[in-house]
Amino acid sequence: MKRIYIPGDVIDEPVAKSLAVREDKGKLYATVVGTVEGKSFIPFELAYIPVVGDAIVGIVYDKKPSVYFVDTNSSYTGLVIARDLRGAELDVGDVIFAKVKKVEEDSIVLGDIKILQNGKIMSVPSSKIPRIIGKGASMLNLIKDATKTVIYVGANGYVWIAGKDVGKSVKAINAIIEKAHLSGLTDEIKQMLESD
Amino acid sequence: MSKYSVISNVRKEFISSFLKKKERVDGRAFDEMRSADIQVNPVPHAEGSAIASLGKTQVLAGIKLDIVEPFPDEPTKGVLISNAELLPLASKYFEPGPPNEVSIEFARVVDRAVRHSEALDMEKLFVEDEKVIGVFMDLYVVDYDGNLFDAAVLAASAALKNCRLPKIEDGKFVRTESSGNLPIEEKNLPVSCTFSKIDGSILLDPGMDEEMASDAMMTLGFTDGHVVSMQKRGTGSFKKSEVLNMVDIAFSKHDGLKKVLEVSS
Amino acid sequence: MDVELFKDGKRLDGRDVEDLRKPLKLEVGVLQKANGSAYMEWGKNKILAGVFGPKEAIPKHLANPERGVIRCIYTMSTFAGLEDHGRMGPNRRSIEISKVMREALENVVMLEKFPSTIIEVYVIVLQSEGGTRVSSLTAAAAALMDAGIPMKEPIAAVAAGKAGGKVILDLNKDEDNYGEADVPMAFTKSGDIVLFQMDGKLSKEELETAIDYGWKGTEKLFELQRKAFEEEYSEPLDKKLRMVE
Repeated sequence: MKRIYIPGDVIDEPVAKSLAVREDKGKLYATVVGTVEGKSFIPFELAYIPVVGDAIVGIVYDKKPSVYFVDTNSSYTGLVIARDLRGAELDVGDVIFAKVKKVEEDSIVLGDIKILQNGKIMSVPSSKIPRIIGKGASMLNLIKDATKTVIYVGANGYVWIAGKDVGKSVKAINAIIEKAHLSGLTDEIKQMLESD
Repeated sequence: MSKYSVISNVRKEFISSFLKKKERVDGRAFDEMRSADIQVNPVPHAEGSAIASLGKTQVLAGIKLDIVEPFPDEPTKGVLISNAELLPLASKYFEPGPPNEVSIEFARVVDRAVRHSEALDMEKLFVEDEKVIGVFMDLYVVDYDGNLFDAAVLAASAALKNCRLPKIEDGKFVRTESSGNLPIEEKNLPVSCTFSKIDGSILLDPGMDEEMASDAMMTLGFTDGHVVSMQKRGTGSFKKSEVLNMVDIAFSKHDGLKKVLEVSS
Repeated sequence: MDVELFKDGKRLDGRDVEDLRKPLKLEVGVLQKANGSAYMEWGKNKILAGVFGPKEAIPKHLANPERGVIRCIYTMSTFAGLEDHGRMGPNRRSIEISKVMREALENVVMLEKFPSTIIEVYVIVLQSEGGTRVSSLTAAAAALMDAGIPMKEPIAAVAAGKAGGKVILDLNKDEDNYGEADVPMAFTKSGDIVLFQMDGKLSKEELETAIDYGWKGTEKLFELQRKAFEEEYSEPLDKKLRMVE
């Protein structure tokens, strides 16, 4: 079994500093529960903090003449500036896929907006997103192909799914969340998708 | 419109798109409950306790017995008092604070199912002049994934069924000594079925998303062949034929739910 | 009242002065809807902790633009004790405990990373047997770790005290009721005291022994917290509260 680190544990490997790894007097410490893979510290759970460039999925919940407010499944309110849409309009209730352009104290400005229609939105722990996507999007493509669905994965933990077998892809994603920390994940998901 | 109601509308549209195809999002049949399970006596300090799960919803019921004064108009009958707390750790939708209309309605609906099932014979709870047994049944919602009511009625019935009766000496409880179980008519123990109406479809045991998308809901408490309590909730409405149909579905679930209760002892 | 609390050199429940009560069990990830959770059984105490956040601080006046804030609420079920039916809702005791728990947690949670947000820590004592605040805090710290909220280090808590004339660790209900002193305390893993209360009567030497016992006790609890995560992540995540074996 891989070694599990908990907050306060010294990490002797040369991993990169992040929200999950802090440095104190030349030593690295885990701040959350996780494990080391190669040169990275992989948190098992981590609260989402947006970074410029993140692609997220959000839900428009309010509109003012010049700005739309977007739920981002986090403590940050998403803002879409109306003039950035160049004449296009959003409605309350629209699900959007967007890029984080700017991070402020308690809000994020969103751009490159794409409206997503007729799909299911599910919420997953943001720390599991890398596993759901997989190396070179391998896991995500596996699910999409097997279930004939379109899936948008937001770094914020909202996942949007539409297409033929939405139920099955939800099941696969839930299985990834439950087993993300175990080995043999890809094979197991493959088997699950091939069954029935 | 609040942020939450917008989000729930988005989910409702998705649920509706399934209902048009006569399907539920999680693949269940319209009259299919999630799996139910009961753990008995998780809190031995209570005279009776049980934790029931329905899918991922979990409710803990605990019963404390005290010797109390009877109500003046029913001097020979015991007293049943129920309260509920929607623990904020159970859901982001629960806020800490004093009981609100949702938690009070919840406690009262479960209370009525228990009371009118007559599983508990109040006359048998008489101790002596001015003294009767008070049954304090409290419900704690531990994890909320839709349909608190049916999980709570299961927990309440299982807690009642396994409730010890402390020895009574000089009109007082000696809690360290038992004198058997609280007198219960087991065949009368109630179970319940909650239905959700969404776009004209009626679904048994709504999950969280279905509950939030509901136009109206109905909870039926029942025993074998008798409805003992009903509560319609939500702003929408039902037709008479729908109500009667729900009674049929509920009755067809009686034996299955009772089996879950039987295993719990 | 004079009550014998020792028999043949052992405490009435068979423990030595420095032993923790049994069972001593901690499980994380027991709740579905909370972002992090923990369930602890310690002696007859049964504690459930759930954490939400960081989330937008509402109402807005709670928000601090410099750092996140913690809301901590400790409550007890109405049937937790051996006595009569208790009252639902907060009381003076639970409000004080909530405050000192919150202040302990503020030492280790990296709130500076989460300005303008709130982190909610909810604890309910389902069954009680003395020492509920320290078991609640130990469980709450585990629930915060389970939620993936960055922390500098863990904290854990235990009570020491004096009963039957001897300094002892981890008082049970009788030792608390009939003993001479109770000292609930919490340490960070690097040894800082982040919660400390005392009532009763102790000499300076006795107090020092109590603190030393407390530190040794919390070291065992840090191991328990670690073990809980090792168990959680050695198999598929299964979020369900199991209180009965």
